Parts: sequence; C-alpha cells; structure tokens
Amino acid sequence: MKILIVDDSKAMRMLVRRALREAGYGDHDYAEAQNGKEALEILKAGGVDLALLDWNMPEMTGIEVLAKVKELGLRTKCAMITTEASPDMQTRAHAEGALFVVGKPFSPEIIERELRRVFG
Amino acid sequence: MIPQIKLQKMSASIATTLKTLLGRAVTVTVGKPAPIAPVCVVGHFIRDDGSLDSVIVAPIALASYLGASLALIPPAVATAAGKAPKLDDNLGENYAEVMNVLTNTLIEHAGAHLKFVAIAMRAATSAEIQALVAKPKERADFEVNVTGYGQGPMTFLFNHAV
Repeated sequence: MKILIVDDSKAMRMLVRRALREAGYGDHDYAEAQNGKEALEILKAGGVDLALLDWNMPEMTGIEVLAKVKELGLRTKCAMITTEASPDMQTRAHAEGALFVVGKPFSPEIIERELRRVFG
Repeated sequence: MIPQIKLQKMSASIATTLKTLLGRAVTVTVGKPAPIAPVCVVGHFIRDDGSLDSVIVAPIALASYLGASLALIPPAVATAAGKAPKLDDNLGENYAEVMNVLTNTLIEHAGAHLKFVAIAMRAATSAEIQALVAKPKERADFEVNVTGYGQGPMTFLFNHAV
C-alpha cells in the first residue's frame, strides 16, 4: 500500500508517519506533500492507495483536494487529519468523500482504529 | 476577569492537548498576570469574517521547548535556541503547528469558529495585533512545563469577553 501524507507542517508529517508506524503500518510505501496542489499532482500520477490530508494548507486546502479527487474520478481513498474536526466540518469532509476525519492532536491508537475500520 | 474555575478548565484542556500532541508529560497551571515582555512570540487567531479574535504569547524559550519537543529535537538545542533574540526558523515552524493545534482550545471559549494564522515576534506583528497585546479585553495566564525540556509562561489574550 502507498500512503500519501499531506500537511504544510514538516513536523506534523513526521508525527503522522510515526503514528502510522506505531499503528503497524510502518512497512508501507510513503510519499509526502506540503500542500494540496502538490498532493493533487501526485494523486493524478496514480499509485497512491490512501491520502491523509490536512485541511488548512496554502495553495490548495484539503477539502479542495477531496473535491478534485471526486471530480476527476480518482480512485485513491482519502481521509483527513486536521484541527478542523468539529461535527460541521466532519460532515463537510464526509460529503466530499473523506473516509474518516481524525482531529489533531491524535494518538496512534485513533489512527490505527480508523485504518482498521477502512482496510480491515 | 476570567473566573478561576474557567481558568482551571482551560489549563486542563491545554495540558491534554499538548500531552497528546507531544507524546510526553506536560503540566499546565494557572499563572499570575505579568506585563507582556517586549520580546516574545505571538500566535494570532482570526474568526471566519477575518476579524482578530485572540493571540497566544510566549517567551522564545518556551516556544523553543514546545517546537523542539514536537520533533524530538534534543533539549540542549532548544535551551540554546531559547537564548537567541528571535525564534529559530525550524523550531518556529514546529511551534506554529503547536499553535495550530491549540485552536480548538480557543474555539471552546470563543463561541465561534477560529483559524490559526501565523506566529511572529511581537515587534513584527501588525498594529492591530500589537494593540490587542497591549490592551486585551480578557487575559488568561498559564505556566507550562514540558517534561525534559523546560517551563515558561503562556498567555492567552482575547479581543472579547470570555
């Protein structure tokens, strides 16, 4: 499985990767992007199974990436890891195709629980 | 003036957020109001209409401890950076993420959706932010101790009643 981590904070990308490793997903392939525009280019190129998106980013937000993924019919599964985790924002993200929304700060257990729910 | 019980609730919320984010013990206690230092790091938050809602102020040393612990940068590096006249760029990027994650703590008390914008040294902030730092409507003072790194004051300054 190839996982794309999208966040404008380098430290947060590192934390997400560490959480994935602790959640038992350390053996997978990883790619990183620091904004939505960069993420979309990687997604268009194909080969990414799961994209974990931050919401507020320069160039293109996570929710805009979700909308583009839907519009272009890309098959990558998408989820959000964001401070924008209020019920309203979660509803919006789900409507745009996010499989789950994890609020920041997060524990590896929460990431693991959501990934097990999606991938079994 | 914010009631003590509300300040204690805020301190517990900040501690939980920082502990989960940093993956280490963090203690947060209610602190005593003190004049805001001329040299400090200011993170600011806006409402959806773009208006300034609040700022979080911390000395360079505490911002360095928090920024370093987020990325497991050695405490000695943070201690050295904390003595500089401005926040180190790398630690600053990490500290900005700490501020970003604290947005939800502020939202609990703002009664509105907020967005973290940026951090800057106090002297480099806009006139509007400087005015809020100089004369907030409300303030909440805390003492934050990041285990293994160090401690320092963190002050929340609000543009509205809390």
